[in-house]
Amino acid sequence: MKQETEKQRDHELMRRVQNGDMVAFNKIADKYKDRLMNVIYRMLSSQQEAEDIVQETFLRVYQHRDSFDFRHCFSTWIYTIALNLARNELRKRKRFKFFDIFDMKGNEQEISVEMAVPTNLPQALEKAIEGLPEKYKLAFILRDVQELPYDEVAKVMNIPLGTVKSRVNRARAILRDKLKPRVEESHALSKGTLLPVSLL
Amino acid sequence: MHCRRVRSFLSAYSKGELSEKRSRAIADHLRECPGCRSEEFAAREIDGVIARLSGPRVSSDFNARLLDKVAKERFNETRSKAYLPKRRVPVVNLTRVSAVVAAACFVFAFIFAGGIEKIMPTDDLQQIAETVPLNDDYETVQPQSEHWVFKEQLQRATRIKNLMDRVSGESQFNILTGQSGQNSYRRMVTPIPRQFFEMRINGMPYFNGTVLPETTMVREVNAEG
Repeated sequence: MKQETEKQRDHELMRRVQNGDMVAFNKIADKYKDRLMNVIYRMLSSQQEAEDIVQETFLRVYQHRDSFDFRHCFSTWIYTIALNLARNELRKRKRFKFFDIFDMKGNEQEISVEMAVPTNLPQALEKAIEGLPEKYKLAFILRDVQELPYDEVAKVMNIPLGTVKSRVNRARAILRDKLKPRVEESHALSKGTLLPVSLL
Repeated sequence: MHCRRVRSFLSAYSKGELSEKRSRAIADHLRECPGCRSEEFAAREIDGVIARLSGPRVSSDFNARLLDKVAKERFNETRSKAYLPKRRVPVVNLTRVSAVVAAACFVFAFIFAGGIEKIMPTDDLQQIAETVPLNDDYETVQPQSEHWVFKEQLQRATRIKNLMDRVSGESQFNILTGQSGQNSYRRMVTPIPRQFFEMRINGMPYFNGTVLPETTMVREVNAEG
């Protein structure tokens, strides 16, 4: 029901955008910019690049506003555009590998300081999500972080519904295995029976 | 249900995504299995953290930069529309072709129906032109206005011819048509016997190399006749 209302609201805004209403376009940007940023950042691991991709996504939405098919969800459309752009970016990265001068020999100490063990559960979760295999990560982010319905995730990723469910479940299991000790630790801390690892 | 199978469903169970039957089976198992219960607790904790997870946010000037880009895009759209190449004119324009074909049909029909002969009885004129060559006994009289249409010229020449015939008492005048000098337009010439050149009616020269105004001519002849 809520999803249907959201869909209708998006369609109404999109109709206004098609008629040249920039206020409606601004509303769409406000609604989706952080959601898209959340997904794209986790794919690219770069704030600046992710923001550029999100900008490009909205620009594409504007450029192709007349070709939007009102039979489909606007969110599916915009996520698909954003993910395609992000995938292109990842492909470019593979083609042109950039080497940071600080990654060179002799700076191991500084790098090890930056890669310190996360101190709390949210940080550990972020780290664990980042470490998920790519195909599980995207399905998990879209379903559990973005809270898209399974069928929409399937459309955005262009894979069968069963595959989406399987990937999401697999990602959840991996995260649970990784974070269970941390959860137990934080649970014990809250009861005052255990010292934090960082203090030991 | 075995622990391994239950744990594979725990995340979905904690999110309420399972069917009622399967949920009940897992709930029954969790009541009896502390290991799976701790797993289920971890799953719920993680779900709670995910729900509170604050991802990266876009920069504060995101919308301004985006609208700036869109404004440029709009400008380009408008400009490209204004400078769009005009629709290519087809080599064969059906409207024009049909008009030309219709005009050609009309002209052919007109020619074959003898329309030209009605306007300009070429047979007679051509025959006269061939059989009655101009010689010293004749002068040509041309209508003064060069802008007369052919029909008017013919009528005028015919009147002059009739007048001459009546004056001389016999038909010895002919009307010829042809190109005159270097002018490209068709001009009516009327041969007139030299003897009439000196003719005066009521003291006025009847012909002096130029045609008198038509009305005067008719009146004079009537007076004479």
